[in-house]
Amino acid sequence: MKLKVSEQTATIELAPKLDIFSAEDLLAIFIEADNKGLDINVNANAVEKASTACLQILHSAAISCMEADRSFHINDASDALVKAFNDVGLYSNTSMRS
Amino acid sequence: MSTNDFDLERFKATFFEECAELLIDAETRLAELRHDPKNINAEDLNAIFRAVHSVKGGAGAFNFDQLINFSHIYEALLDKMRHEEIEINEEIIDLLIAANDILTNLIQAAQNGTNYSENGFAETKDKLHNLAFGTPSKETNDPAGAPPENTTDTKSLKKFSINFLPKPSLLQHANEPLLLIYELRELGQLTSTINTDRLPHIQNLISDEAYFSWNFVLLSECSLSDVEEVFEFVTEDCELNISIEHAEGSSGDTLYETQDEDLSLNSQPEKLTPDKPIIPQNKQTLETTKEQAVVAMQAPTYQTSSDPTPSAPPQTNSTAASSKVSSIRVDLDRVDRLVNMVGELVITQAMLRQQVDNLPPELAAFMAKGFEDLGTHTREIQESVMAVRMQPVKSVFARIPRLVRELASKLGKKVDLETSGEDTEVDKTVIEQLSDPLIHMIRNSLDHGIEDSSDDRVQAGKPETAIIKLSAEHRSGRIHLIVTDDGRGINRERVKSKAIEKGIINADDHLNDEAIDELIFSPGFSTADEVTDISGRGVGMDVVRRNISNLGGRITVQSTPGKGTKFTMSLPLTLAVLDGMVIAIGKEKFIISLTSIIESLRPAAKELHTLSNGADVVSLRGEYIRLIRLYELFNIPGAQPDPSKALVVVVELEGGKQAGILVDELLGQQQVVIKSLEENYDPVAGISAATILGNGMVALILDVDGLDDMARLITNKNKAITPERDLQDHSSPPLLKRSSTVPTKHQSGPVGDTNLNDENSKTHEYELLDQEKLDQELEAAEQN
Repeated sequence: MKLKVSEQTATIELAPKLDIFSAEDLLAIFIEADNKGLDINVNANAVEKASTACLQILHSAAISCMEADRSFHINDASDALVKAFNDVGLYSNTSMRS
Repeated sequence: MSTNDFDLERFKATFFEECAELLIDAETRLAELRHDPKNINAEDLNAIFRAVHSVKGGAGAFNFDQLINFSHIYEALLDKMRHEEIEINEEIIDLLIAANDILTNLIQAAQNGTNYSENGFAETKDKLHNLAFGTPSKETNDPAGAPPENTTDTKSLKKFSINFLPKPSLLQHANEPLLLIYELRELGQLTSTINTDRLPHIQNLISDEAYFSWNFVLLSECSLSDVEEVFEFVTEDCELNISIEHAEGSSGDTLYETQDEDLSLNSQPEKLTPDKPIIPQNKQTLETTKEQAVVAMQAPTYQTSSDPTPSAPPQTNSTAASSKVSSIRVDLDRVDRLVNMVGELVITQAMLRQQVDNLPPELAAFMAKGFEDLGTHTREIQESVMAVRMQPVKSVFARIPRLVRELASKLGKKVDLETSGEDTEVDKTVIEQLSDPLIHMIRNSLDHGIEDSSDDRVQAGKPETAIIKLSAEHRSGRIHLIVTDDGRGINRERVKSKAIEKGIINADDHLNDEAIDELIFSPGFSTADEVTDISGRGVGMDVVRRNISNLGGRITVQSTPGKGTKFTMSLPLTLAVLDGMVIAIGKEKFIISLTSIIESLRPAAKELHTLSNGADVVSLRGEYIRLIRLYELFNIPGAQPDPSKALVVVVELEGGKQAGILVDELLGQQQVVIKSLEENYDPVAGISAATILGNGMVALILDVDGLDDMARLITNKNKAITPERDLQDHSSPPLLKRSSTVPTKHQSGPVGDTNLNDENSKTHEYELLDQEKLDQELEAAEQN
């Protein structure tokens, strides 16, 4: 998991395994970005597995950004991440666009 | 709690421990099924299903994909079987046994962090898949596999409304809601509605707490218990309400039809209209810009009230409310610490108890009563703690039926296995050591004991099918594991010639039958002409004996040519505490396990005899018992050498034999804490362990069988070292060769003991018996 800051945007590279054991690291990164009041771009192409714990963090981070009028984008979401969101019941009717 | 507090390895270790137990249970049940495929006990099938289901659930928590995938297929087949959708026959049960093997290997691979080659079990997997799903297996990353096709009869469909509200701790207990969702999908068509109301701001979120909750609507033919089973392992970590809204054939059909269109789209929850999206105004700003991106933040968040299910399902359907914890898993180290502390408590209590005698009489009586109560309570604590560690030997026995089946098949022999005493309990530390020697004994019986062909058996007047009996029982405070076969028995001529050939014995050694049988425990001994993967490497029985000996156990063999062989493995029930009798010899104190003691007596002089080989015996109710003089074995000065002035403690030996241990005094019973000599010092012949007495002194715990061996060895040595005396003994039938003034037959007179001082020697009087008759009677008594 990596956090890169460029101007007002934090870019976060997600790890391939977003299991419960990586949840704390993931949370720490989003908290850091939130502390700095940054917009967030999440690169999710490497994600192979996602747990409920990490989906909660991603969703909370997104809501928190929105509430603070900051943008939150998940880019290049892997099929595994899309499937995990769908399975858990989130974003299933969200449009995809190229 | 944070994820840093998670000790992943500890959780994994617990999972693998559970897997081992589950596999043993499944193996036992499979053996039952295999034994009588036409009379299947439904509970056996259910138990195997539950075991595989549990393995799958645990594997899911740790992302063991290979294991999840295989157990899913295996589980699906079992589910069909228990619902009687598949006819059960021997072929299918053999397939299940093979599947269990694969599951074991996959668990082992997961434990080792390796992958188990799919090629190794592809065929079995395909067969399982075919039976479970009607198609061959194909690789998928979806742990849950493809949802079953909807071939259901509308009339039998039920609509389950499931409110699932995880407690914050759910994730911390290695549960994954996604896996539950996958499992529900397998049961039928699922509509899930997520509720994110409890999700806090990112700053307040705790990474391993559960915030999401769900309302599910499941259309399925399955039973309520099937649905409940999905949540079987999370009932303690959630609030769960399950209700059946529409029973089959009722107006529920209408509801099903109205939902059908949505449900046909693979049950996507988003098809339900969100009742109150949290922040709809932000939708546009949150869309992502790249291909395949998921646009975040227009997450539909649904209120519980939007759920089509009743807001207050009947409490009677709640599984959470009714679930109770019936057992907990405790780390063995903790139990061991408890056992040690109880041991120390016993010692302290004994020390204090000894001080009571020094108190004034009025206080002593009061204290004595208090100590009596304390003793009772301490004993109860000790027994309770020890009971925690006790486990039935069933777990060890479970592996044997298959071993026998496979080996018999490989060897082309017809063999039935009969087991008894599976519920005999033994300490966990002992049980862990039982498996290897037991397997070796069984292999030996199969390979060497049972005749090579059914024809050989028939010619010998035996049934075609050989029988191997495996039994466990408690005897004399030990567990006895007995393997008996009705085969050809030990070929003593062959054993002897092999032993001579391998230089284990000399060609001119004269050995009795028992001694020849014992040769099979010699290092490097084997009668097998060729080395096979079953036995015959000659590195077996000596290793078995050594390992058992290291545990304070013994292994003996009894064989009757043409009738069979019996191996008896005797091990202590526990390695922690024992009830002992404190005895005194000279100034030394020893402990004899109470369970070994039959009685104690002071024999009359006329009841004492000596055999020609120097062995002393005591006549007890018409039977002769070998006398063991401890002071001789351990060179203890100041002991009373005359049995008629000392005491004889009659103990039971292995195989039901008896021996009398000569002691000066019985000091009383005492519960003692076993301190291993092997761990703290070195093994000592005739001593099984040590303990600390109430006065702080160390006392040794006697190994009565070991003492008997020592006594016999000394007798045999004396015989070997003094051939002249031996000759003299044989030439003079009367007994008592120790004395230079040997009385004549049937006379009594003073006898000297070569090891004793003159004063003691003069006091010995023995009745003389016919040597030959006495030897025969003693031998007969020992045989019995």
